[in-house]
Amino acid sequence: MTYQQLKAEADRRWQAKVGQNRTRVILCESAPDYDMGGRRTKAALQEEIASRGLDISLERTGNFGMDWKCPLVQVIRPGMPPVWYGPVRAQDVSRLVDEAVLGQRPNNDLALFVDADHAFEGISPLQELRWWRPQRRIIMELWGKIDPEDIYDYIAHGGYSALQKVLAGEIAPEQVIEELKTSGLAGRGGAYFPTGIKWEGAMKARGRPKFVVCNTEEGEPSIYKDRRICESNPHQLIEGMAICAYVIGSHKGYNYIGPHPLAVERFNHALKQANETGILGKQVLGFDFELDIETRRGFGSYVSGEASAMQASIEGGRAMPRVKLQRSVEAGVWEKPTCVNNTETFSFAPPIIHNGGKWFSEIGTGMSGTKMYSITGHSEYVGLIEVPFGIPVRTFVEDLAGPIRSGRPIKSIVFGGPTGGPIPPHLFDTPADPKDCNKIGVLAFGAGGVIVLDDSACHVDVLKYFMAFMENQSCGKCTPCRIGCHELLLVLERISQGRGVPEDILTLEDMGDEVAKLSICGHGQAAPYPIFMVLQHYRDEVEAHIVDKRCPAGVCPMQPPEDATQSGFLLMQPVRVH
Amino acid sequence: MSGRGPELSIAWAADYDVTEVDNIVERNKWRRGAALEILEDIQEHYGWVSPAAIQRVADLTEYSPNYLYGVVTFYDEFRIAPPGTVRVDICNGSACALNREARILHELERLLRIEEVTDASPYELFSQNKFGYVSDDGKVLLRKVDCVGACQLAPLFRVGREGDHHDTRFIGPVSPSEVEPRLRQAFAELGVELPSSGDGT
Repeated sequence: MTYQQLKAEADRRWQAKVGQNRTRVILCESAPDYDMGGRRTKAALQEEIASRGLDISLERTGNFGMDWKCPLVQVIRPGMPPVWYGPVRAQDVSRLVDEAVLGQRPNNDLALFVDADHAFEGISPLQELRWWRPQRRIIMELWGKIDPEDIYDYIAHGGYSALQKVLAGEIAPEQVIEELKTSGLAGRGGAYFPTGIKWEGAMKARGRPKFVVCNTEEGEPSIYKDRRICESNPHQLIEGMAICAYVIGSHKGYNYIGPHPLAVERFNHALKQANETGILGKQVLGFDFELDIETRRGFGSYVSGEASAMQASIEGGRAMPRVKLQRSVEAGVWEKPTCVNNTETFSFAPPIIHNGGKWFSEIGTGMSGTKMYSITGHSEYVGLIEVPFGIPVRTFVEDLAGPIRSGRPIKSIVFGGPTGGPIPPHLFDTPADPKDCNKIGVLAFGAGGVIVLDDSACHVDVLKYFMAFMENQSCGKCTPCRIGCHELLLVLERISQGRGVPEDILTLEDMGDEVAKLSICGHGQAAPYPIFMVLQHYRDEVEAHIVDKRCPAGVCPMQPPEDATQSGFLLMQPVRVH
Repeated sequence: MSGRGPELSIAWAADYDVTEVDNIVERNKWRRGAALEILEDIQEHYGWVSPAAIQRVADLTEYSPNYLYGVVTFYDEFRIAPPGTVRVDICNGSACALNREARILHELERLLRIEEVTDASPYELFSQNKFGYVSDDGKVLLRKVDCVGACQLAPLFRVGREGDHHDTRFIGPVSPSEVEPRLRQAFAELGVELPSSGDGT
């Protein structure tokens, strides 16, 4: 079908959906909602509606980011603004139907906010939430509005119009790259490489065929943004990948998704719909351009998120990184030109083409545009947010992460997951931006994992946790990373057991430096970064472990485990081999 | 407990019907880089990848058994020993680890009657389902996984039937003392009994 036909059909369906003269109950159905019992809530709602014989339309939408209030339910009564409720468990359903759906008391204890400019029945509007105010949503704009399993919902909101523009020649491929360069869009996977330059390199590469690869492998703890994109708006990603494929001249795309069942399910469903409606296939949107996108499942390996390791995995082998003699845009999958981008990066392409690169470059300070972060840790608010670059770290602490659950004071905030570093309170005015954070020691800003720590956390313990993860997930190809991470972990364990010696700090610095400099891929290069950051800002705490033999936070055992009878015990631990 | 080594896996492979492997290979062999896809389909269909299945894939394709073992043992989600009917995953994400997940793990090990193998060689460890331990009766697989992405529940563990992610129960936030009642409840809801010890305690 052509775009015009699709758009007309989509508008008709959307009007029918919005214009129906009955109450709409919209359930958020994404992984966090399901985790908190969303499937049972849905079953209870269906049963309640059927047994009472109510005329209600039950609909579906994606994630909204408020993971701590899941499962979320949105109720839109005819002529009234949408009111959000949460957490709605199965046992709350009959009360919700009475109070919210039938309108006896919309402002009950489950009411969160109303999606309108003014308060409604005493429920405050979304704009007044401190969690919402700093946010600006581009990728997450349609989350909570459209049904992720219905392609027409996305088309009705302007979806695939950017692809249509590109295919129809309204914007030439060179111009797309020009727009991307103007926009300043940088790779959101953690390396922040300018996307325009990458696409240009892929376009100019001589090899054939070319491949487009989307990186949705998130193996590290505390990051779950990319899988939510696949769960909540997979079509924006498909559109971004299709634009990239057309611009660089590729006919085959891969989306490499980690072991996240719902994300794989939703993305496959979206691919099926796109193939059925002619958005993918032999003739994309009726134009003379062929594109096939395939899902590849990652089977649980953090290092597969590294671009060259992922290419090895797509080729069907062990996900081991390669020494990059050539960039992946020259020789990637099967030694052919490959454009690898993060899920978030691809999803930015349609709005940029729609609104122009200049529009995007004006958002945020420092680096341009917005960034999605997943917030976890000791904070009250746990979930996904999208904010412009350059807002101070303090905003994260005070507004976006909310109060600390236990009421204790905050100790630090870690940006960048297991390769980031804890930022101490006196640096909370630093803008949250890769360049500014680099200056204070966060060498790898990462893909957007934020961990809030209260003062019950010990940084040696945190380091041990990060390093144990990096050691576990090291693929074992290059020696500095395979042995270095293990040895660093042993030193940290020794310190946490009260057996540290003053030289250990020097050992950590020197060995960490070697691991960072000699490893062949980003895994080993970034593994010791948290150690540098802690030694820079929390040296006192580490020294207390070594010199005073005490853990200020009271977390570390400060004694060898019971079964360790000899001092060489740690060295006798089995080394994991792959 | 450390007895469930590779020998036993091969013995169990006798009831492992490899006929579906042929179909899986047939379905995937046109793909480029099919090895991983074939093995993933086998893992999803059978719940584990047996030596017999690997041998069958090697017979049907140009991949050597060595290569296939290399792939299977690289990724965390593959298993080379039978997994059991129920899967208990304890999350080792940052939020869970910070909220003291270790004591919950010990409690789960006690309830599921799983002894952590501490004196095993790396090879034995890995034949034990790669950082996962099966209970003595072979019914429950307990694993430590890296972040399940449900940090709002931290610290948490999840209980579900093997191969059915739709009916997984996420249990959290839990304190070590709450583990027992909530685990019992989840098992009751799934219709499975908690492993009991041989002497009836």
